Amino acid sequence: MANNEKKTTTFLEKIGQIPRFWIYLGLLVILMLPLILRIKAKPRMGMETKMVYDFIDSLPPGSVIMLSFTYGPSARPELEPMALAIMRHAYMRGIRVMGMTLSVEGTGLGLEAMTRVAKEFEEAGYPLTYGEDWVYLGYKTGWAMVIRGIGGDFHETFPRDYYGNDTRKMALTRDIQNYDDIALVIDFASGGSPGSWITYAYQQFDQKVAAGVTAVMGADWQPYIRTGQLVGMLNGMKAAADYEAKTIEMMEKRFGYTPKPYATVGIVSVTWAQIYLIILIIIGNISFFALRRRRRR
Amino acid sequence: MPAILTWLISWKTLAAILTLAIMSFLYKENPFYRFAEYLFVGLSAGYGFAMTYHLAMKPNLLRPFIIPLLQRIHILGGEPLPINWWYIIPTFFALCYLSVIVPKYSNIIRLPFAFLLGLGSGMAIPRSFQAAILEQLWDTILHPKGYHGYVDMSEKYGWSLTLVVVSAIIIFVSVLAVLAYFFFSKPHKGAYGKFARFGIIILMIGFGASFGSTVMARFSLLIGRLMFLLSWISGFPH
Amino acid sequence: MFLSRTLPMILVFVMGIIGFSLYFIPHPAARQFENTLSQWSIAIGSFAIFLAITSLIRRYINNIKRGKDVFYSIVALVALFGMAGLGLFAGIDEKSLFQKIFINVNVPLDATMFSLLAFYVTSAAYRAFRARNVEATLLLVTAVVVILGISTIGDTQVWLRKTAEWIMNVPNLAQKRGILIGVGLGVIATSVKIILGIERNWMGG
Repeated sequence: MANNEKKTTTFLEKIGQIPRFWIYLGLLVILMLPLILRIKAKPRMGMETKMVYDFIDSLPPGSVIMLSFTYGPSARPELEPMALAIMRHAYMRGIRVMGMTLSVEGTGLGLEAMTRVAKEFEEAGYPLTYGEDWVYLGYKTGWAMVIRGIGGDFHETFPRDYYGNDTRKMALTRDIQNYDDIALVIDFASGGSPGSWITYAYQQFDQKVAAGVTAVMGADWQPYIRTGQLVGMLNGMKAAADYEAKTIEMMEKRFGYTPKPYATVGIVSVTWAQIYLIILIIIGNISFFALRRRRRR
Repeated sequence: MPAILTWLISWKTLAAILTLAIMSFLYKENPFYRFAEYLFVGLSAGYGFAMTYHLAMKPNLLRPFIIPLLQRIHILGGEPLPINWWYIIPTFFALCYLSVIVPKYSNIIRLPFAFLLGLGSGMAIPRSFQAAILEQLWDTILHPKGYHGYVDMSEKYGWSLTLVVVSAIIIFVSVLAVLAYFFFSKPHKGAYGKFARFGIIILMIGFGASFGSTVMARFSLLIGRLMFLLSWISGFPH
Repeated sequence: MFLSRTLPMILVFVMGIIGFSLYFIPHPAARQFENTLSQWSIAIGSFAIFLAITSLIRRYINNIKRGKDVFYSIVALVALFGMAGLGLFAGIDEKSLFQKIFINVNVPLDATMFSLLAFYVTSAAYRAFRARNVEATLLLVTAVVVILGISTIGDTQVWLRKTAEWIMNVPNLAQKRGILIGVGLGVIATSVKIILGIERNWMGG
């Protein structure tokens, strides 16, 4: 019987059974092509991304924003370009940036991201001063308590920065007492930490919070934007590419310097792969319906 | 040193080899993959310990209390630090964690657990209620206390007034339907059953949206690795 | 018995009531006390790493004793002590060996492990994503619209972007909100159970 069925398998049914090896290879080729051909996207900013952009753009120079690098290496391709873009935007507007993390793996990644942008600005001929324009505070244990702690006494929560300097003495952090002195917190998160920022910083201290999240979580945070609990959200590599394209353009115009693009290159591969996936789903379904129709006959 | 050797003996090559070792898992489980896996667990734990020591333990507990205490009883030297005697309480609870080293006394670890869990739970109740329930309900029923998300929507997304009103009604009914679906104390029969079934439909649309978004994340991660491998290969001297 | 069961139960109850009530007292002294408790929690929590490290070390030592995965367990232990030692005694700034190892060994290992999911998600979607019935069809159609709408294709195809935005902001939002409210109630119920000593799983049985 099984043998008989096999013999009469039509083409439509067969295409539902492409071996895994070819599916994998197809994906690899599709992803590699735009990278090798160096195709860059010129994306248009999505609305949730624009909300964050507009908020930062409306802050007066000299404001302080805080970035929380709450992600590990597995979310880095999506979240790091966002963080880099936001830092570029902030520095160009004269906004000062503090970095911290609630995830131990995020400690080294936050350091890497912050030093990289500092280096970019140095190469662009607009050097930033550590301790005045930016500070890296590093890691603390316990999400909720750290977030609550900053609202109570910033210096007690972060007595020292990453390098062991006294935060009561550094120019940037000297005058920061609590959330009243922080214009915006942006949590780059691979997990549920934006929820803790909302619950412990927004609800209790009216702190403005934005989130940069992996696309896995993007849909989950949507309700918080409508309620104003988040001022906006960067969702996945598309948002990273949107923001990156904008800040690269700004830096080129102002300094004649082009930072290395990352998400604007990667997003082309993502789009190609998305189309590949949809085609595969369609093929799988055609084959499924062909098989079902025959079974019914 | 010849260019090729500098390329070969570099951090980037090491990272590339490890990337390929993990990717070899796609073929099947093998010794390279296992080596990389154990190496990762060990390094991560060591990394976590050193970072926690430098950035949390030392500034937030050792410096306010333990180091100045040891200075006062002349075990440690150096410039005397100010002491905060209240920190004797967290120091006691923190030191309880060390009891794990001696399995016989490891029950003492329940004390710091109790402190953190009790405080955390107590603090979570009113705030979670506010963040996850009240604010969400206010917006669902368009209560004047809520943030006027629906006004914002029409401006930012360019929605017409009709669309805003229809959407607000859909949200209201759908939230109720999803809650009805998860409410198992009443059997899903009759009109209530039909309403709960509408809840399933909304759930499916939501899961579809989550999946649609998730796909982007999965591809992004692989692209990250491919970009790295390409940049490593392009560094090959020619 | 008192030290291992009764005292932790009393402590969890007292701390829970304190944590809960402080929220409703607007007096500056109460705010200050709540802050002090948060700062203590950060300090206490930092020592929890000993728990993680000790159980990991114990597991690998047991492996070695039982002759299971001896080589790999030694690799893990050497990596653990080596990395911790480097970080503790040789500096952690961006030019240190510690940070170099993190960026060039930890990061590729972790990132690559998760990147493999791209292959599995593609293969699984191809094999299992079928429009079998109404629910599955809805899921599939929504997924496709969202995939296209939020990608760069939506940048040029305005109707796709608009549809995806509407799906995200209306039915998806309603679904997430329904679940969110359910989870919120769950968090509160669990917290109350912990404080009242009904939920004792945290004591490890």
